[in-house]
Amino acid sequence: MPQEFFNGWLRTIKSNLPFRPVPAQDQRLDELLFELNEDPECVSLLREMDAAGIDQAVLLVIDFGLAYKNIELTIEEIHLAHKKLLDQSGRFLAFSNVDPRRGREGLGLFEKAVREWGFSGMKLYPPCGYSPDARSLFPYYEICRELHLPVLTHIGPTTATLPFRHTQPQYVDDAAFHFPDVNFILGHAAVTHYQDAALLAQYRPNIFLDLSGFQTAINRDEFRNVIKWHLSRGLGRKLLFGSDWPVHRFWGKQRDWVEKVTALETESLMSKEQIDDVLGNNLLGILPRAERKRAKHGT
Amino acid sequence: MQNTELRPDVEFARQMVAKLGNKGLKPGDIRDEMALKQDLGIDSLLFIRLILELERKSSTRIFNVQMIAQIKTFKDLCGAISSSMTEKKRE
Repeated sequence: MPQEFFNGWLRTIKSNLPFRPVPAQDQRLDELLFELNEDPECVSLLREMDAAGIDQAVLLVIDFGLAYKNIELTIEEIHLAHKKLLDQSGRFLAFSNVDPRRGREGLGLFEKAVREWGFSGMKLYPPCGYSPDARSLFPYYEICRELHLPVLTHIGPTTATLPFRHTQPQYVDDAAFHFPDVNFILGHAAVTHYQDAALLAQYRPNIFLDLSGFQTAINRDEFRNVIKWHLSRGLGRKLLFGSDWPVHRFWGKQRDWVEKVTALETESLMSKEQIDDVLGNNLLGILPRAERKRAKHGT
Repeated sequence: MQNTELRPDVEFARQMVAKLGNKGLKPGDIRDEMALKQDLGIDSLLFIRLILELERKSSTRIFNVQMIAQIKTFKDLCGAISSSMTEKKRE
């Protein structure tokens, strides 16, 4: 994670605290939040996946290279670090992300990632300064259409050091309209801007809603009502479980988050079949065919 | 009825939980099995304050991310404090 991204995130958290930390506490909070991200080889993640019964996780590349200066690794090196994890363990899938303003060279890197390095989807991070409906992304979507790759785009606010423009669900609509054979996953949108996102998912067969970040809805006691909202609109097959690792490590483990979803069955809100769909089957249905055979359950 | 042993650090934790929580409880009302969020009214942001206050009072680093993620009840909180203190004594 780039230092500037982290700094903005810290500032936001601190501005929301219901108290003013003294300087020593301020520094201690920095340290604790920094610890959240200290798992570059995914050792802790794999341990938590085992405990939670999660078979596979999707890792997401984000290309911050044009949004921030002084990024330590090139975007190619970041992809190769993810490829190394893919090669080491069958427990991971990875989605590629290249800022569309990188031109032909960027498109070439994306092609290499999805055709040769085993990446099985595309990630977009519009706060870096582009919209999901930018025409410069259409060549990427053409490749996604050819290879049956889903596109996951971030929805909603993020760190204070990036603009939130283009992070509303409606910016995906034009791309989803022009590429009806490409499946678009709205990251966090099952809980962020969820009413607008649900409307899109209800009327666009190729739009899905990712639940990651639902931990915040749980903390606010809003989770059940949000799920009810989606189910009442027939979106049970459009919801995808995600945990947003490592962001919510402070508030629970992967097992806790899986249990929050499976508890919806005991609370008579969802059937066992619907829970299985959310925890994996819905994602498996939109992954490339090769990945569908390999994975039992996704996250 | 209280179950945790009477130790200054645990007693301070009890006082802080009662003070920060929005349930109007007194320190003596807090029982081990009570959930910090549901029973004691410590939401995620108040929890950050709680751990920072506990560390300030003890003038030592008690918590890490792994530990924090497992704290659900008052007993878990006391367990984390105790194990950290034991570790510090060993060092």
